[in-house]
Amino acid sequence: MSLFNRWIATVCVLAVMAMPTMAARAGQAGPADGATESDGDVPPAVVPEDSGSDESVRRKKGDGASPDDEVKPPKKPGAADGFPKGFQFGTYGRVGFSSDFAGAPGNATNIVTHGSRLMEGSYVELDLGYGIRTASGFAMRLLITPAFLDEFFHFDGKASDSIVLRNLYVEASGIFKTDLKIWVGSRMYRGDDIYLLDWWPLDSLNTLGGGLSWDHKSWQVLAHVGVNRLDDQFQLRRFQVPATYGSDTITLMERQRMIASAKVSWLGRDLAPKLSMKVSLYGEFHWLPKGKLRYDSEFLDYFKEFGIAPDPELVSEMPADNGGVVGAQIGFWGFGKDSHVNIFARYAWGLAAYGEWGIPWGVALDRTASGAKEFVLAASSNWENRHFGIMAAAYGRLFVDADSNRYDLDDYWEGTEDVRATWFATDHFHVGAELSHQWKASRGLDPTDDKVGRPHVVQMSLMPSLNLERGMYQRPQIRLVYTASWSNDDARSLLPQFDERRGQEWQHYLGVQVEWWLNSSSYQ
Amino acid sequence: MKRTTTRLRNGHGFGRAGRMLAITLLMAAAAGCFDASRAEDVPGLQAVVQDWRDEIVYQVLVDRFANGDRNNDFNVVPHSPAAYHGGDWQGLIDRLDYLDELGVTALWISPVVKNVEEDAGVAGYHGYWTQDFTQPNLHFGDLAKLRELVGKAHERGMKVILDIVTNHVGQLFYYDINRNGQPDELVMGSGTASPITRTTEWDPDFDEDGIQAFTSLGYSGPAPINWVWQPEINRVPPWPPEFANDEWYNRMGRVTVWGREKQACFDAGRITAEQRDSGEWWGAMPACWDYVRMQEVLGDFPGGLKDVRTELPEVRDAMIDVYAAWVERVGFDGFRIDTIKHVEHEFWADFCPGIRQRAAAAGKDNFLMFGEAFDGNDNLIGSFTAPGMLDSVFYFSQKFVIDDIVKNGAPTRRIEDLWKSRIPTPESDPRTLNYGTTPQPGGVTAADGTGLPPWRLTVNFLDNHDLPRFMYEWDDPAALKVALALLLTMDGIPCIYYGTEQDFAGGNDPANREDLWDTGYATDGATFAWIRQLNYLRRDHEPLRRGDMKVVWSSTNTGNAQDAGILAYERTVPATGGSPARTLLVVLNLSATNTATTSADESGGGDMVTSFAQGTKLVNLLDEPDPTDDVTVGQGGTVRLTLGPRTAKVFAVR
Repeated sequence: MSLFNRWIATVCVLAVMAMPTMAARAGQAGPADGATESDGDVPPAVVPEDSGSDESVRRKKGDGASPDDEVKPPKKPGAADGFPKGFQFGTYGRVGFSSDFAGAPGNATNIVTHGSRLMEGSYVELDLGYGIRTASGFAMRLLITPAFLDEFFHFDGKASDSIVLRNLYVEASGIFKTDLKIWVGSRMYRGDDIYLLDWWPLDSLNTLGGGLSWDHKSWQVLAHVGVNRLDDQFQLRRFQVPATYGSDTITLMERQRMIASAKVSWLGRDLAPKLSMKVSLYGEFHWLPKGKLRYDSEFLDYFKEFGIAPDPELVSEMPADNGGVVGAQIGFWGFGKDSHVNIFARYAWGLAAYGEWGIPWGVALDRTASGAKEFVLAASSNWENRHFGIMAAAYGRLFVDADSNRYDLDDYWEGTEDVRATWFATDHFHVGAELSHQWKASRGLDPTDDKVGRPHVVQMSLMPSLNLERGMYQRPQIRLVYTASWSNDDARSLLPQFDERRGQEWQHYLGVQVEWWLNSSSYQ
Repeated sequence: MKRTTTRLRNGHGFGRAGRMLAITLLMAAAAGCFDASRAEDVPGLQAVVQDWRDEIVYQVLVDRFANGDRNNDFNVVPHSPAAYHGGDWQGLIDRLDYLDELGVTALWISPVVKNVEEDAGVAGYHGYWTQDFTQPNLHFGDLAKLRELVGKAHERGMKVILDIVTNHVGQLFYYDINRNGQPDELVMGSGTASPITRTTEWDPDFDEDGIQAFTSLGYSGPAPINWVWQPEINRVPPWPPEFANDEWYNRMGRVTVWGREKQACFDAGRITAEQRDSGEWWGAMPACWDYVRMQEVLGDFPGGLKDVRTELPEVRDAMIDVYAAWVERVGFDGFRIDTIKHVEHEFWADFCPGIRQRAAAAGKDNFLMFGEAFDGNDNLIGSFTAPGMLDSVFYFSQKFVIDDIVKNGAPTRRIEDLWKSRIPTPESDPRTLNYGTTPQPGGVTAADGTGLPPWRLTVNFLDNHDLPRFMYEWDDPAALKVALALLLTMDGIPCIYYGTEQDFAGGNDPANREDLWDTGYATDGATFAWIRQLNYLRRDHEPLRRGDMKVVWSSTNTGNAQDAGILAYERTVPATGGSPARTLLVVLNLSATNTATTSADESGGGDMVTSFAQGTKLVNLLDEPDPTDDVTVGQGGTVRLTLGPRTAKVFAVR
């Protein structure tokens, strides 16, 4: 199947997936969409677009709150709408253990950037917030979100778990008694996700910066500016020089990437009975200044005099670079309990095509990311009633790096189609089944057979679970997961040489997991 | 609900918006991203060579030619002579215009296979340290990029010759001489009661019984070889896996005879002390010759490059298979074969027909194979062109003679004498000729389809990546200029080492492997212009490419003698059908200082006699037209010319 045909097929799948869900909206009772339902992970973890509001801390699934809350028209700031006073706690997490039937833990079989989340590793976020409010309605809140990454102490016996700080910022509301909110700090900065794939396809930034949000009637505007400076020679170079005793360190090059983003959303609530709609336009701009070398004129002469060649990578100047993203999202909800359809489109170019943390590979001859591009079309949906629920997701993604190679393994289309169906056998016992298909279409040659590879992976999962209530998004959830993964020859040839899985068409996973979101800033 | 449904059907809801979005995105994707071409396509497998004598070969050391893709610059250390510098196949693609302008017509590119990354601080940038015979060296690009290079060269009518190695692989194993399971540098003996000896298990000296294991208790049988597993430098067992077979290697240690042949023969008990101390050439002593050749054929190449047991039929089949696959996969037009004198002749009698058969089956029926026998022994070099073997060899013996004449002022008769042992004449005894006189079965052909014998196809050169550059020892642009005129006007296939056009003057390896990008690929230099002029002269005049060569003047004199430095020859395409014979006359003064004349009248001889009729007017084709270069042939075809030092003239009938 050519890339073009595959692309058409993907679009068709997205459309077919969306339409029945739309048609089925009638007659469904209960609260509306789950458009922002998502979970945390590293690098991703959800921050609702309006995150920072007290709502995001107070709400939780299953307590009768509607997922519509996330896209409700903004409320006027004030005592009823400001941040709650005092200490707040929230958490998202997933943890589990598993087997591959051969004595080792089970592993995901993924050939794409975003596969099914069912076999992901453990991950926990802890939200620690504190709100302060004045009588005038001005309020501020501090939110700190440490997160812990797989593997944990009780598994690997190491006392030092991997910890990251996902949020550390202060947000203010009620400024000049307007709808304006301002935040400053380190923050996950995200929109809506695709739960099945644990992915935020339109906007997902991790930033150190500040921003504002403004809500007015059906409109919401978000804007932010942030920076990062990765600990990599791409952005930071340090060098040891002699000191009176021992050595000192000088910084030869340091450059920050500036990222600015803006998002405008229009929320159309109750456009028709049981139908609401949201449209968002999104953009990012990335700018990386020239990597100016910061040393005095004697530096290279010093080396030359003694015939020492400094690492050329250390003393090579890096050009300035830039990139951007444009994207759009359209979402519908209101046609059933937690039901929704979201469609995302995103085009990134240059530096931004590699993501905010990406160190460009496949660069152009001038070392810039000029010419790189990423295009994503993705969709997610959920529909459920008292007895059944069905959740679906699909995406197609093109990535082309900045080098001039036409036949490059780094230039590819990829995609996933994923469907999860669940029978709510009782209020608390549910049985789910998930079927997903991943594919990749690179223009480069598979070195094992000189052919253009067409890897495919199909995963079939069975998932009985214990839940607090009926519903696809009810958490906490304790679940048993069995997954059988089938990979074709081309998929297995992507594995390293001598990896025993190269000879195994089928992989098995059996795990016991628990997942929760409780008053989480990531999960509402 | 009904109202909403209607609304959607009317196109005000998702349906219309979704369709519009999908169509828009599809158009964007189709316009900007879709490309129907496929990397699987093998470009230009059909033969594109008319007559290999028409070609002007340009030798490219890929790592040093042009860096067209920074993304494969792994382990690059730009100014370290023995490290990767970043050149790649994309760079070569980017500079095809430069090569076109220079006028070359065929590229000989350095080996493409995956190498041991580094050894003792030296990188495998040159490509001669094979680890995987089947995969491309990703420092230079991938298979698709290699195909693109060949395809784009072919689009210009440019041929691509692949450099291959059959003699050895990289340093992939060591001899476990002390059987301790690790590679050691062994120092044995006390220096008092016993001599101190030093042995490296990576590269021990040649032992015709095979490398032996020993401990302080004495010898303990053949030393086992241990394959190495160092994937971080790609020092892992060879691929395909059948090459990781101990029996496929001779395991005799490194060649030690070079430069000390007679002493080595004496040490091995092959000659007496009297023979060693005599003035006789070692090659004239059969026992010594056999011993030296045994080491060369069976020993590891210095540097620990392990000698493949090419005597085994299964090894020969495997070599045919792995290298024919490169022709089939990429569409190369010929092979330059490394270190052929280190492989027994019988191998070539199997390998060459096998490759020809596979190449022809892939549409390459004019596939050239020429070998490198780094030796001044003309008889040895030529022996690899015996019936059934190679189409051609590098004319090393000629290279050394040219050096001797141009740099050291030796008489030009030396080169005529050398040619006499190659070029058949009605008077010559075939038994005295060193090169094949009959076309190889299934070998290369002339444009009319007739086979070309090896003696017509020698690959002529002035320097290469294993030799100091021509300008290194004799930094004289005029010497290079006249030598280039000789190179590009004599018979055979000329080969120019990259950077010659930029006056590179590096010494021995690795100093002779300069980065061409430092020159900015300038095309306005005098040497570039001179080579371009000679190349296009050769391309435009069939006699210079395909004509028979007849020496009309060479000198036994040196110094300031009247004709010292003069070498003159005619290149003639015989009359065919309605076309008359065409002859060009090349006259060179190779002397550094002497203004020489094509005459020996001062010593009682006459003027140079050519095949031109009396009264024929000749004109020099080189440089700007110059009235003083107009020559009228005298009685009996005589031509009397006086040339300044380092001068070249090519005359055609006006």
